[in-house]
Amino acid sequence: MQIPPTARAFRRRCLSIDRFRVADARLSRAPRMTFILVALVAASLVFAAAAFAAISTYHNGGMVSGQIESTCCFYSRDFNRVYRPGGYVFQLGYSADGQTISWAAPNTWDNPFVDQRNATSAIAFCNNYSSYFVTPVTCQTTVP
Amino acid sequence: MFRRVSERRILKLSMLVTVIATIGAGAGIGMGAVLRPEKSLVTPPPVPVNDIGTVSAFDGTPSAEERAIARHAKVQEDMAAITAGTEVVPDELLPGDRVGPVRVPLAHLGDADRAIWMYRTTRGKVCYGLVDFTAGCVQQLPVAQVVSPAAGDPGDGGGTIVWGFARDNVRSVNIIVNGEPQPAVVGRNAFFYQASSTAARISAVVATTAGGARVTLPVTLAEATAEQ
Repeated sequence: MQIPPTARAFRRRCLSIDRFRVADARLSRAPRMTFILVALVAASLVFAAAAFAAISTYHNGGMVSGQIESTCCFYSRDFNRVYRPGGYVFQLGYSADGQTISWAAPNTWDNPFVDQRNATSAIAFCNNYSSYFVTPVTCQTTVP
Repeated sequence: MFRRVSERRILKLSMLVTVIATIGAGAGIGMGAVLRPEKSLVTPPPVPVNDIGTVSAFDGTPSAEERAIARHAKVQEDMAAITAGTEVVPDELLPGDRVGPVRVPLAHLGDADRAIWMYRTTRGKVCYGLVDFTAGCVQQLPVAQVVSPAAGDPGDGGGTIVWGFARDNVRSVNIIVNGEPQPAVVGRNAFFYQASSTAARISAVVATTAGGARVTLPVTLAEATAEQ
């Protein structure tokens, strides 16, 4: 079928507009995708940093026999743990009222030793229950 | 025109965010390296020790149930509690990274349907935990000691729990409750017992080896104390 010259020109213009639209859409989609991707990466990095910040070290150094270390404040805790050389009895505990300490199972040979029980609002404790001076000792718990 | 400028802005903004995030993460990692102390004097064990030896819990391949338990969010959280945020911990006390699959020597334990998970580390340790109770890593035990028990109140209303790691040659474990031996559940390199209440008087763990030797280990139960 013969297309009149005016109609052919009109069709060519429409096609070129369509091509421009497709190209334009591609151009605007690419930076958006980049932005979303970058935002996701940034969010995951921030989340990782936040997870790191949630661990609080409340003692780092040696501990004499019977020495008890604790955190300052009442917070909800995911766990309480101690890193120390194996062979020395250590206890971990929480106090919800600031008066009584509820100790976890005493442990001698695990390093680290982790009390996985959580606490809603408590001070965390770390106790060298052995008869020896032990070094190094790191007591840690979580903070919100 | 407006759209192109806006796109450039978005690109610039996203690049800025990436740079800030990278610097932040780098600084965090760098601070960890700075904060980690140099090699320090480590108190040696007070008694002669030897390696825990062969751990048959790692033999074969994990079953579908083991894999499902290992993937459970609670188990993942418990395992993360072993190694997360250790930047200030002296290097010689760190357990190393996990190698190989997570094994589950015992499952469906006690009132709260707990499980025991276990994995090896790059530093030759075995890390293990009882879900919602305690966890740790072990490499050595006293020469004659065949089990490493932990006992206490689970804090969820259930009875006192006694559980722990067992060397490969352990065949049975009894818990002395109110003066009477009560059998513990024994799996590969792990055992578990839960009393009917926290009032039960638990005094010892008696392990019997493949050679028939009986090893008794006194159990110290934690008690609530007044803050000093």
